[in-house]
Amino acid sequence: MTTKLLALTLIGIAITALFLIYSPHSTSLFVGTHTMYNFSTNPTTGVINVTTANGQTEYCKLCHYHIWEELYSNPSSPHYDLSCETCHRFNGTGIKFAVINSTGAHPGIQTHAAYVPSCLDCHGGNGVWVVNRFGKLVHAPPAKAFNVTQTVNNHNVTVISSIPYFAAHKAMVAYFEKKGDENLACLMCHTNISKHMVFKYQYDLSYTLYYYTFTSFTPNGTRYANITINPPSNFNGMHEFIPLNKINCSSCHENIYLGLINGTHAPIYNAWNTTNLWGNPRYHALATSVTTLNVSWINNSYCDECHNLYRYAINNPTANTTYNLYPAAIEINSTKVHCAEKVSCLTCHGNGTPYDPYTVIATYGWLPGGGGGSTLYIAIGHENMLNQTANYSRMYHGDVCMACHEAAVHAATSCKWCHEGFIGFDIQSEPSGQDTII
Amino acid sequence: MSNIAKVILLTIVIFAVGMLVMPQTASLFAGQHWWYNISGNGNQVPCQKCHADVYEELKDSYHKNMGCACHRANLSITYAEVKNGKITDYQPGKQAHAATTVACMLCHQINASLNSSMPGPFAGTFNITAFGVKSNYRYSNLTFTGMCSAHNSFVANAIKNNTLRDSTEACVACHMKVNITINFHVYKWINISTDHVILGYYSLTGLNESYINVTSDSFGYTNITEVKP
Repeated sequence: MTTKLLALTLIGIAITALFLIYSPHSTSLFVGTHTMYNFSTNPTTGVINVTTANGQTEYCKLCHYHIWEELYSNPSSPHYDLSCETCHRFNGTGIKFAVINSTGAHPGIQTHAAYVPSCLDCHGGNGVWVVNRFGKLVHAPPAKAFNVTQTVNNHNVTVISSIPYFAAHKAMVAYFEKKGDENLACLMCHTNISKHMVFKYQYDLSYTLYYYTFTSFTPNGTRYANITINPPSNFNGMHEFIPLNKINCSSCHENIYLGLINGTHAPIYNAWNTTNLWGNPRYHALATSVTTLNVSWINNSYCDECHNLYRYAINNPTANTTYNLYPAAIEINSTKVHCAEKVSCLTCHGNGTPYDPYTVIATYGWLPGGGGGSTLYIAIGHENMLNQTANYSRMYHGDVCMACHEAAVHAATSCKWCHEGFIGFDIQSEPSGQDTII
Repeated sequence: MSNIAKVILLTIVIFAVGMLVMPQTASLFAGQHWWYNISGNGNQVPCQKCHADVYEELKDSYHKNMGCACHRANLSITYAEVKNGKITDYQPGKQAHAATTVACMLCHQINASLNSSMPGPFAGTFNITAFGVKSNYRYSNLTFTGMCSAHNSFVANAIKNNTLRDSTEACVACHMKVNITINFHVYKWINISTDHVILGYYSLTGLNESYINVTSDSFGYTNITEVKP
């Protein structure tokens, strides 16, 4: 026992002695602080690689792995073909980045390694061509209507939005623009970041008419729509991009989606069966009644029928021919918007617009109705009503029109709606569809 | 003579010989009276003797040809030095004796030759003043503004941290093979509220315009941990 103890003690002393001799006499504060990365920049793609213990790897990925993983999580996602450097070292702005190449080390000017790009750096103007991570030249298309030069004051703060009035979402982009980060507006729609929106809007409109002339008009209150969208992403979703044609309009505008089903946002029901005054099936009808409506038909394509007429015309050549959509798309501002045009019923059906109802009512040969006079009178009276509607705020146009044209009701309506003296309506706005004659 | 007596006698003899042959005294550590020649160009003291780990890291890096000179490069510091190979020209250190810890920016700031005996390429271009941070080193000027640098906040807050000199924590994090755990506090939620605003008559449209206006925003955050290998 004593011999064993002595032997162990001697071995322990020997190990300690060897450790003291061969171990470093001091250690640096952090292991690795004197081992620098050797950068290897791909001259075509600009991707920077470094060598680690596990071999060559993308440089940015070392610290931003979650973003890298998210960016490349979906092969069909926009920007899947781009590298971190494509956006964060984009060379189209005049910003100079630090570079190490065969001629030495060159400092950056406005930045060192990377910058936080504005989406419009690539998607502004006419768009740009960039080399993706596979070495292929690809085009970043312009975000029409938002691709405008901003007006700035002498403090370099955007104070006036140049985004045209007809661009839906102008207010949102302009809001974040003024806050100094318009990217947030892009992220709202084009990424899977979580969103919570509270829409406040007019609710419960009452008005009365006497032969197409407004005799009262009373908005009764406001309503709130609370929309919450959680992302499927395991990170924050900001680098998981969604292409324009995959953005589900209804996810953010759920109250409008419900309003469509309930018959208050647009004439979604085919009240006049297969034909109407225009001589065609109702353009924006999907079903004859709520019981025959397949809600999956309320999709982006349906939204396009009014809010992006140009895109709808391109994607639906038969409808384009039937309804002669393309000239109308040019006449309104449909060709100039990124995703959606801000419209009301009067954009296409107002006095002098592409689908002014005056023309069809006046020429259709309708027989005079009871108490109202001639067909011409109805046409003139109808146009007069449109002109009066135009004097009310745009937010009320749809409700005024839908009070009569709310298809599910219209089909069962008696002649008095158009042809008798007084008529009054109380119509709620989205998402409910109640329309009461008062 | 018994065996025990023989062993005792042999031991005495060995001790006696040892007393004669061995030095009269032994220094506490062998070699402590062998002096390095520090009178030549540069510093001949083998730093790696004590800093072998640093030496092993350094010998394969960009800075391998610089040796340990970074730690005696600060022109505002007088280090102990034997000049011109003459011990009579000995210059004692003032602010430091052998070496100082060093910030990367000493040699990589704008016009580093004003402050460093071995200036390197400028590697700043960070706008730290936007974060209310001051540094002894020049990160930006009217030309090299750093206004767009994605890592401005990182560098500025590294300056505030006193673990390493100035912003060296940030330099090390990106440029050195150091294992790092990073806790990112990032957006997870965007919340907005809107109102419906009536603008009034607009001649371009001929309508009484209104629009949905964003009235407020707020953000929700999440914490993400990145581990740099």
